[in-house]
Amino acid sequence: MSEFFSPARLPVCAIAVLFLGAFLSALFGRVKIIRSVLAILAVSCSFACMIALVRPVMLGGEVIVWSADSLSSYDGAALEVDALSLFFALLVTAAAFVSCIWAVSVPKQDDSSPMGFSLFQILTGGILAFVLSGDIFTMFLMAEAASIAATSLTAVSGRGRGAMKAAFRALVLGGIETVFLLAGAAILYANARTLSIARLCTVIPGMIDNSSIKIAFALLFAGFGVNACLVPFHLLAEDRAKGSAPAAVLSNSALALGGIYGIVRLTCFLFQTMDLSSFQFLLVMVGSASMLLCVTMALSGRDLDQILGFHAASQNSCVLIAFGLHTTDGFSAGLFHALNCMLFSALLFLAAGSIMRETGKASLDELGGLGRKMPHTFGLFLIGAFSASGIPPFNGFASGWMIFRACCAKAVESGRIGFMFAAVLFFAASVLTAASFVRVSRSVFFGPLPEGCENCKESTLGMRLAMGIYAALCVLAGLLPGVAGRFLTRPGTVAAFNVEKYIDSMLGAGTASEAFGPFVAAAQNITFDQSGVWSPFAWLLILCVSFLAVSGASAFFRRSLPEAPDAPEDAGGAPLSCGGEDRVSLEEAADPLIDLTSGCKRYFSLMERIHSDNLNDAALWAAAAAALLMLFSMISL
Amino acid sequence: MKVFVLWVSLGCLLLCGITVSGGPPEGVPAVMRFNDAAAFFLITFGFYTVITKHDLIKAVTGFLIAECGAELLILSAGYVPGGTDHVPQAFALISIVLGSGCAAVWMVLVGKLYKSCGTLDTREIGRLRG
Repeated sequence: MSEFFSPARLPVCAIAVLFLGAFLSALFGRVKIIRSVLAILAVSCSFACMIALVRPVMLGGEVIVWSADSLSSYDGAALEVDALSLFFALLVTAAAFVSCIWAVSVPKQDDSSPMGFSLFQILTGGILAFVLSGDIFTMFLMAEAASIAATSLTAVSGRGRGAMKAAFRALVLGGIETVFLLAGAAILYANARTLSIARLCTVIPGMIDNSSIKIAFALLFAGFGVNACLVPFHLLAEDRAKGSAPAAVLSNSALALGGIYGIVRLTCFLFQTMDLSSFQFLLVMVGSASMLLCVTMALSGRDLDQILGFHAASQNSCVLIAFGLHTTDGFSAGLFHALNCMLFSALLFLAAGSIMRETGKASLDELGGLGRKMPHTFGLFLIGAFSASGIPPFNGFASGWMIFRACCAKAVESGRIGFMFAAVLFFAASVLTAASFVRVSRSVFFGPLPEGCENCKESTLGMRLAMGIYAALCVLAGLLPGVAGRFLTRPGTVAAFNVEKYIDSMLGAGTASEAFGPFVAAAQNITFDQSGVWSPFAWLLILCVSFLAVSGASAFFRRSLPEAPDAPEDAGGAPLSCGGEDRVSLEEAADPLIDLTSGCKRYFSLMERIHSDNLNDAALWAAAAAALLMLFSMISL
Repeated sequence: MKVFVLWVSLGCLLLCGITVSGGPPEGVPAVMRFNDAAAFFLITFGFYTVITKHDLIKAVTGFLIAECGAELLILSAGYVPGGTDHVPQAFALISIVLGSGCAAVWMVLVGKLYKSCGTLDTREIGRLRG
């Protein structure tokens, strides 16, 4: 009996219980209480299984391997749990558990709910199996299952034509991901004769000069990039956000982080190319471009769900930047930011879901004044917005500061200015995120109450409880970053920098030294500078001083500026149109920021032009991205 | 601009096909090399269809063609002199099943989009708000 509940069986139990729950929900989910109990049971069992693995894997440093007998003939482990995969698995199951509490507390559920609950569990199971899989075959299978479940969930739970359009484009991008992953896996198998990640780790570094292997890298990178909503697949973030709030939490945060996990496995384990500066450049550049583009799209967005989808993708891209630094502090900061992204993105999606469910509207133009009608939801949304904007003492600041410091340290260590540029872009993205949330909060919670919103009520207790859990965790993770570091991010970082231990655990002791020659266990050499961990008190002091300094400077400059001349009647107060007209008012001309504003408007206009809703364009950019990646890997590897 | 990106991207995909079919492993018969090249041709042709055709049904067909190309690549990767390798067979079989499931979801969504938008033209659907 005790053997049945051994840690080796927990990963497969965690996945199986979700798929069983999905099946039972589809069968008996017509009654609300039955589907709610089934979903909560399945998701909490899965979460409990993952928590039970924290002690042996995170604290004990073990790698748990589970292999089905029928699959062992191709020397591939079906499932493996090291500290890195467990970290992501904990994020996925925790997000599913808290979102499920929100979902079962929603009053007046519609006819699509039974199918929605079933798909929700399939999606959770798919992402969980993806991050725990020990071979490319299972990874592809589960990525595909999760992608189809996410798309179907968007179509089932979303509203109107917009949801259908979003689901179709998400399915198109999912199809592109399938083709890339399938082709990449096929080329790897043709050359290495195995699909096991551990076995491939020993074989591929010796075949890196082979052109086919380089093409396989590009195809797999593009495939995982689709999942992670990186440029040019970032429109997927908007599409995935069109479903219900729990669906958006899972597909925009958990599934996207799963894609980033896939990229880490690919670069740090399979190809082990992260020591090359060109690959560090690739990850940092792709991450920076995605971060900046997504936050731009969020700034020019009109719908609440669309804006939050882009913000989630932008924050997930910051995680990729941190991983691209390939330092222990950078990786640790990246993992911490992944945890924080999950927390605040989930909180924002659930708060937005509460608002959209109550009002039936998503457009910022149609919302307003809800701060008075839904004060608790407003407060919880603000906590999420502060965290995402990187305002102390919330968690977004704690991890953002660590990433910023890690970028600067890497720039000094390597002497490359590009890393410093990434740090500046990261700071700029934080400012733009804050600006976007000011706009969203003002449009949704302040001003007059629009027609049709008079009877809006506060979210139910269960919904507020779910959001409250996320909000409390946002504050706790911000105030106590060291705790998350000790139990979650440090073991994850050690696992990511210790490929040899992973190989030995999967294929037997000594396999790694046979493949790479004798080595010193990397885990013993890993040190954490921890220079990026912030002190809340010191930052409070800095904030107060900065606030006083900015207020003083602003008052001084206002007094010293000359009076603006009276504006002529025909030019006064003319609004600056999108794209920037040549003629601006004298009042605006006196503003030293006018050039910058005008430039920004041209930039937004360009972004709007190149981001069409046409799915042919999405496929074109996908093909172009794959071609560029192939060229890059041919030149750099 | 878009036409230039299209042809450069598709050209790169075709070049990859030539590289993969002409590269290692050694001892692969010519017919399997032809298989590899044909697989990449199908993938490229599928992408060409999706990018240039504005009809939703044709776009779906393009994806199915590209997926067939990837499946052919798997089958050809499983070539073993004088025997069969069961892993690529299982892999290809499962991907075919997944592909057909995906095609079913695609067609359902095409039907629903036609009902709500009244057109199958991707440009018109893209322009519609909501």
